[in-house]
Amino acid sequence: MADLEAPVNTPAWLSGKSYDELQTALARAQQSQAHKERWKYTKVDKLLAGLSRQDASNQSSCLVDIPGGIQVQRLTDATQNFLSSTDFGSLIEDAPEVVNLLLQAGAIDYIYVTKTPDACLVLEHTGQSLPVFIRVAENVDLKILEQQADTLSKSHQHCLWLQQEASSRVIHARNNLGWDQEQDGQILFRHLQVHLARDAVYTLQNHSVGAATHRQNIHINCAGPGAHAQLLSASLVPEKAHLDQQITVQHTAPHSTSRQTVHNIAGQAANVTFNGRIHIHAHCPGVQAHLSNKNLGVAQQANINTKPELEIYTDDVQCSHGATVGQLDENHLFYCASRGINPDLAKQLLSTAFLNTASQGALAETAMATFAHLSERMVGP
Amino acid sequence: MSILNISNLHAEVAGQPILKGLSLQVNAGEVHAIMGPNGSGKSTLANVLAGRPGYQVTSGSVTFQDMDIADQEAHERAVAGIFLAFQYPVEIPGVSNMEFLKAALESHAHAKGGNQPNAAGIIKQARELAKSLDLNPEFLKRGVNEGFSGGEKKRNEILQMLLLEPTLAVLDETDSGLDIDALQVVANGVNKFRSQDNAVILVTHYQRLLDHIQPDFVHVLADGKIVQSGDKTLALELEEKGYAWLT
Repeated sequence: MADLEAPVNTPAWLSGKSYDELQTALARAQQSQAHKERWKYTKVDKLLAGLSRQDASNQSSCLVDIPGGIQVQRLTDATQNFLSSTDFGSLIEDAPEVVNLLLQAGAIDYIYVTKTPDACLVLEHTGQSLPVFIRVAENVDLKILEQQADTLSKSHQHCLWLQQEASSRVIHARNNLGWDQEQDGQILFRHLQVHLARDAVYTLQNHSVGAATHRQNIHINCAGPGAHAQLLSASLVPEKAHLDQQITVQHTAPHSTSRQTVHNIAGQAANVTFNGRIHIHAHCPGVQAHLSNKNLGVAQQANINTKPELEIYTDDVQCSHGATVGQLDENHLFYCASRGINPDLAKQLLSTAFLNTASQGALAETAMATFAHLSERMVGP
Repeated sequence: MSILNISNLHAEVAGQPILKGLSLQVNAGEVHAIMGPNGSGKSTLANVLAGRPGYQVTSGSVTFQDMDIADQEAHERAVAGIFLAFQYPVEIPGVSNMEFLKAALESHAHAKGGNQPNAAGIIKQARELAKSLDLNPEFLKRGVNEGFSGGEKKRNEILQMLLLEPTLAVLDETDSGLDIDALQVVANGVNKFRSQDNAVILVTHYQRLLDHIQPDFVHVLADGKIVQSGDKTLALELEEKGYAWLT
C-alpha cells in the first residue's frame, strides 16, 4: 500500500467543524424526532452495543485487490483529529450513529482513483472493517466489488464514502451474501454515502441475504447538474432475520436524475423495514426521480414495513414513488404448474425471478446464484 | 385408443355452475374443435382439464389415458401429458424463457424417472423451434413472454407445446389476437404436432382457424354442455347461421 501525503483537495463537504462542536451537534441529532423515526424498527442501542464490544484494534482493512491507477493512503493515529476537523454536513443530522462509529475507528483508508483502472477494485470485509473513503477523479470509470470474506465474524461494520467528480462513472456491486443460519445474533451495520458531481453516473447493485440484525443506510446526493444515480437492490431475508433499509436520495442540483428499484423477500418470522426518501431541494428544476419498493412474503408469518417518501421543494420535476407488499402471483404459479413444474420449484423460480428484476450486470452473478440456492431452502418442502 | 373421456361433467367457479353435464370422448390422432358463444364454458373446460385451482368439479368424471385425474394437481396432469395453451399467457419477468423451458423439461424427466435433459440439447432444440415459428431465438433469453406482442405470446405457447410433446394439447383460443400470417404459423405448428399418438382440443370462436387446422370433430358448447357435434361442415354452418338456432 503506497504511503501518500494527506489529500490536498479535501472535499468541501469534509471541512470545518471543531471536535466540541461535533459532539454537541451529535448529541442534539441523537435526540431528534427524525433520528428516532429512522430507528423505529431497529434498536439502535442494542446494535451499537454489539458493534462497540469489538475492540477498535480488531478493525482491519477491506482492501484486497488494488488495481493500477489507484492511490491508497491510510490515515491512522490522527483519525480523531481528522474527523474533528471534518464537516460531515448532513451526516450528523442523518446518521449520528455513524459519526460515533467513525470516532471510534482506528484509521481510515483513503483511496484516490485518478485514472480508469484495468480491473475491478475489490473490497472484502471480514468483520469490523476500517472505514473507506473513495474519491474518483473527473472522467474516470471505476468498478467496485464489495463483498464478504468466507470467514464471518459475529459483528460487521462497513462504512463507505464515495465521492465522484465530474463525468466519472462508477458501478458498485455490494454483496452481503454470507448469511450463516447458525450464527445466532449476527449484527451487520452498513453505511454508504455517495456524492455525485456534474454528469457523474453511479450505479449501485446492492444484494443481501440478511442477518439476525442487518441495518443498511444508503445516502446518495446528486449534487451536480446531469448527475445520475441508479440503485438496484435485492434482498432475501431468511427465517427470523431482520433487515432495516434506510435509503435517501437527495437532488441538490437541477437536471439530475435517479431511479431506485428495491425488492425484498421475507421468510418465516422475518422482519423487513424499508424507508426510502427522495428529497428534491429548492431551485432544482428538471429533476427526474423514481422510487419503487416491492416486498414479497413467502411464508405464513412475516413482518414488512415500507414507507416511500417524497420531499419536493421545486415545481418543475418528475417524480414517482410506490411500494407493494404481496405474495407470489397465483397466475404465475399456475402457469408454471401447467408446464409440469412442481409448486416448490415454481416458488423458488418465481422468488429468484422477483429478485432478478432488481439486479443486473456481470457483478451481480454471484448474488443471483446465492439467491437461487437460498430461495430453494426458504420455499422448499 | 381413448386419450380423454369426459362423462357428465359438472364444474363451478366461485360457486357459480359453469359446466352442466358435459360429455366428450377424444381418441388418439383426433382433433376436436370446441366452439360456442361467449360464456358457454369453453375456457372453463380448458382450465378444468388443466387442473386450475378454483375450478371445482362437482360431479362427473374426467379420465385421461384410463386414469381418473380428479385428484391430480395441475403439475401432475402436465407431466402426465396434458398441456394447456393459454388464452392470455402470463408474463414472468426475471425468469428467462430458456430457464423456464429447462425447468419444465427437467420436471417432466424427473416425474418420469428419466435422465435429466442435456442443457445444450434443450437450447439447440428451442432455438430451432423458435425459428420454425418465426420467433427470434433471441427472445429465448428474455423473461417469459416479457414484452412479447400478443402474437408472439401465442407462438411461444406453441413452442412450449412442441418442446414438451404432450399427449393431449388443449388450445384455449390460441387464434385470438393473431393476424393472418401469425395464424398460419401457429396452425403449421399445431399440424406439425399432430400425430396418431396424441390429440388436440381446439377452443375457438372462429371458423378461420379451422381453415388451417382440419378438425375431425366440431362441437358446439352452450350453457355448459355440448349441444351439437359434427364434422368440419358444422363450423361452416355456424359461421353462416350463428349459434342462435342451436340454443
